[in-house]
Amino acid sequence: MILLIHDLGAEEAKRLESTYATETVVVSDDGTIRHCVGCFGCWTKDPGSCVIKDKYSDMGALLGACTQLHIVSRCVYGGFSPFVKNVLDRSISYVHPDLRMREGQTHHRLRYDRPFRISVWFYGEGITENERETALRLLKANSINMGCPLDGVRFVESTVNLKGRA
Amino acid sequence: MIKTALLNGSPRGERSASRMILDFMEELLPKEQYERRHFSLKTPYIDPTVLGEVLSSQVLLIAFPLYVDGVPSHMIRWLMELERVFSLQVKSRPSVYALVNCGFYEADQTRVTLDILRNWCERAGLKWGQGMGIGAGGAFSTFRNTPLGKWPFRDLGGAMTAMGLNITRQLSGPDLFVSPDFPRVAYKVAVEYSWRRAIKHNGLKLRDLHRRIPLVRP
Repeated sequence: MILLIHDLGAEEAKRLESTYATETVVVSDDGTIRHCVGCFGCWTKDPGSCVIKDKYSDMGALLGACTQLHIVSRCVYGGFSPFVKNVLDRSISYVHPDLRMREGQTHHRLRYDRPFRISVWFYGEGITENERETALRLLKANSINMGCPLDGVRFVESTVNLKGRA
Repeated sequence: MIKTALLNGSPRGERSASRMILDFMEELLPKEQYERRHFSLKTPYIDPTVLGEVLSSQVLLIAFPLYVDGVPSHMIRWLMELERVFSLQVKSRPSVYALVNCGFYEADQTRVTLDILRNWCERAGLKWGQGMGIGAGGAFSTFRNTPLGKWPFRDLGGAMTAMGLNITRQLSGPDLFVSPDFPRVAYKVAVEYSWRRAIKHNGLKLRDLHRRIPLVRP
């Protein structure tokens, strides 16, 4: 199963989503997402789920079930847009609170056995060289942190020609 | 007086490690010279009063926790709004010093996030002063009453003093990375014990820590 997280407006979203297979799970911005409050309830009160009960509370389970994670995000200072980052911040139940060594550093133990592969499309006009370089290093860090291979990070000026690999 | 805004980007507000770190830094800035004011940026909702105070400051001290290798989402909204308003204002641009703490032991896991802040400064036309990455952020709540410079914050004391000097001289400096003065294995044991204590406190079994949630399609 492909999990697609994007921050596109209605028209662009419709165009992009139509290029994916119907079983793709899409996580998009309907304006209702609440931000992570740093309570760690997803580890100690309702392990595996975010305790803020809205449509984004089971992101950890979704990540645990998907085989591919596709992210389409505006590039903001070399990182994700507020919405996409909000979804990722609300996804830490995907990992276990215990620590393990990976690539010489401490990272969280993985809660689920099967890793997914990550592909990211950053969009935006005038993304600077520093921002590209930062974004590539960010995704490398995310990939190590979530124990998931990184398939690729691409930069595009516009989302018009983006297509899913259905 | 040099108007200094201490911006706490932790959603945990006053109870956070970020606030403790800002309090440490505040002590290093002479109060005869620095007008030091704390602002909490704990939600994504932009408070125009806070925005006005930040705009009129000469020094910004920003502290927040690392979230998924980056800036917490609510803080990104603040950074974007600050970029927008700073780009409209040409008369004064503050210097930015940032302190990012992470739950992992290794402070340099904050490196990418400091670069994101540096990129923000470039976009907003602000002067990047210096960044500091702080590891083992989970230790701060345990050592809440320990002064800076005393174990386990001796190394942190040295790094903060160096950054404090740069702030008072309005200088830039290379990013600094520092963890509390205890071994990584001790941190790991303490952190994992704290999760087990918390889960029992919440009326759950230890095995619940490993719970996997079956997928329910949205």
